[in-house]
Amino acid sequence: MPKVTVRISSRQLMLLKLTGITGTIFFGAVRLLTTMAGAHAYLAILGGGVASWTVIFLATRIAQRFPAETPFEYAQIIFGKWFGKLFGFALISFNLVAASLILRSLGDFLITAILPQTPLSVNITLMLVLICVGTYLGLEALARFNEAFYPFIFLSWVLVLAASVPRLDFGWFRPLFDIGPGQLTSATIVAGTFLIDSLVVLVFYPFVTDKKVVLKYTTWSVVMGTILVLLLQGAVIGVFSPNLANTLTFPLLELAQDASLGVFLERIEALYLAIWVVGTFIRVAVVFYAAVLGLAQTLGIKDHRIFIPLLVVPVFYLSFQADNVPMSFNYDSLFSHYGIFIQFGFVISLLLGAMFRGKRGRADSESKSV
Amino acid sequence: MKARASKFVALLILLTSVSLLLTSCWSAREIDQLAFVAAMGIDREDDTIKLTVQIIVGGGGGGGGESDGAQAPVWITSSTGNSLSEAVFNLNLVVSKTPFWSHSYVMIIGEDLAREGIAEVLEWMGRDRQARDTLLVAVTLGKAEDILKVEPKMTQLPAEYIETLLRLGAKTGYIPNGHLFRIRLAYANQPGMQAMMPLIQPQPQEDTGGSSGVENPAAGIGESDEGEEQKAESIELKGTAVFRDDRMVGTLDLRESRGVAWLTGQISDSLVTINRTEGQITQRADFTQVKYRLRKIDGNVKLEARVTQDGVLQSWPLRGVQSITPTILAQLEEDLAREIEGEVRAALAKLQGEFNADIAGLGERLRRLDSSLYRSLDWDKAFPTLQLATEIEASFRRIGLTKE
Repeated sequence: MPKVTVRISSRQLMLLKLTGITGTIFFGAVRLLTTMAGAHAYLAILGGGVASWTVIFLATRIAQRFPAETPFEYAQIIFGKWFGKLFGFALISFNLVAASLILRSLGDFLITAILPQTPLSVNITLMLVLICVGTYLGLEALARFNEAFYPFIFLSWVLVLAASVPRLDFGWFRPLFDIGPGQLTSATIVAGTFLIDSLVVLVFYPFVTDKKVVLKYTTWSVVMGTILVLLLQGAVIGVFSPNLANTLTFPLLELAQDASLGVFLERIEALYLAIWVVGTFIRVAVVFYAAVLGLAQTLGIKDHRIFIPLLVVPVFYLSFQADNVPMSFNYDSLFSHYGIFIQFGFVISLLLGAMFRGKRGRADSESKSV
Repeated sequence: MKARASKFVALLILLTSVSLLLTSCWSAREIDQLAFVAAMGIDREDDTIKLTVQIIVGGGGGGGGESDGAQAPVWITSSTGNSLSEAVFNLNLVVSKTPFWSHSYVMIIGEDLAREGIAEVLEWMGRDRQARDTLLVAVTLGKAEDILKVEPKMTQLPAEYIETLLRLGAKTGYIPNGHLFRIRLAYANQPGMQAMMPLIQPQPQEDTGGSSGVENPAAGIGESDEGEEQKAESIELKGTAVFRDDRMVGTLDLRESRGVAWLTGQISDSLVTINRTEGQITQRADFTQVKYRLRKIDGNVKLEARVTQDGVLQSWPLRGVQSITPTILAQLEEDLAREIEGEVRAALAKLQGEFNADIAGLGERLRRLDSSLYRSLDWDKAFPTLQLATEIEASFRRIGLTKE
């Protein structure tokens, strides 16, 4: 197999991150944040935004020390061959678990709200087939597709927000500060997990052509993602009230369902859903691609594509671990409570390891071959 | 040659998969297999729930009934079950298509069921989210079934008639906003905000001898003196059905209902009449706003509602007064404010004294202003003794096309 030179721009990286944040928000984040912080979820999102930017900043710093290598490669430089490989496997496992949880959440969403009679296995299998195709085509194809598609995701949220403005009652946010510190911290951690997606920066940094502006663009992605999530969460609370929103399984879907544009465009949620499902596909494909690429690089094999069928099996298996929808929600909640710490752990151990051992990567070759 | 063969195989696979995927998924619903429910009525019948539905008949004729040989635009049928879910499921014992609720206009709840509790109805509507939040819900004095059997003369679809009546009625304040969403919102935020629904009743035909203000709704509807079935052809708005938790605890008449509407700021087109010795003056109110604040009155903190309303001078039959001067208007505005204050007080007297149901959401207003004060109170116990201070600011913005 000939070497393929992969190049993506900082802007494409930013959009991949934004899709990671806002492409999947409709099935988990808002529900969880509403349950945890109610009307004060906005504080948690602001805090989560700051926390996630901090991790992304650290991830960019370590990536800058190894501009031509992925973490799967430079983990072996920092920690030595075997510990490095172990670190790589941990990173791969994290991505596989993340991919399976997102996939299952999408499946739950579809069978609950849209396709009640379609078996979960069919939804997940079809999505996995698409993800395999996306992963086979590689990062560049995914990034370009996402760049072309992201405006639709963004527009869908803007329309949902615009249509909910007449129904907003800002009184539901009052009092503005009435939440215990423990509750707020817990919600902030969860919000941070939703907003972080730091592994995108960590894994795909070497493929970026204009590396000098990566931090700028990723900062923008966090700022824009935080604002969008903040507004959507605000719309849910302002329209439904914290108490009613707390009873809803998919608050954003309900917001989209009732959001009509005038009297001529009603019940256009099917349109939104089509867009959001594609957004989820991009997100899972990117996470899965990172895992496949990671396994190839950890094992020192040039062509990552041969690992696609191998890694599909654990993702498929893991996505069926929850027996029912509430159990799936519990897993999602569990992951959201620890996700930011795990990602922070990966980043900080790499950074501190590299600093203490004085390790640096080879010079940037502008693009990376896989 | 080999490349062409592989291209052909790829194309074949692509075309096959596309044609297979286009057959859609398991959950596909074919339009000819759906029964579009325009209106539903839910009644308590002995120990069972009776669900009556108006199903739109495709290609139906006009007229609202089966007169003149035209096909009726709707088919009215019903089913029963031990629960609402069971009654909905049992609908397919008589209806050969899958009921489709997304296009429903209205849901009518019979008084008996409303008084017993509608938690199950709200639970079903919330969990099975086919019906829109803009679905209008109302309570009828009597049986919901009777409302669904009304044959209006003006519109083809009886459900559309009920929906328009409820929608326009809500602007006047004589009935509350009956959107399912408003009811779900109140139900989720009790006791600081209790649910209310429009109250309606079938109006018997003129020639049956009934009147619009019948006290006993069951009388005069359904059967005439001779025992012949007489279907009502119109519906009358009666006021507000007041709920406490999920149970209907009483009713407010039109005037009292508007008293609540001033406190919720939901009047956008109503007629207020001032009775003076010189004659009756009417204002077409087209703007209402209400703001709440906490005020210290006589050393006590009180919740104050400041109602601002505005409107057009509609009639001016004052004898002996030729010109409409600002001074006279100011006097009329004071009278208007007194009238509105009277409506508010009449509503509060019933809500606090008889029903102990905060349908105006005063508890929620207090929570927004001082959450710690609200939390310190047991609102169910505090509401009956709440002393609401009111400040009404009524004004005539326009005087019409004659100045005298």
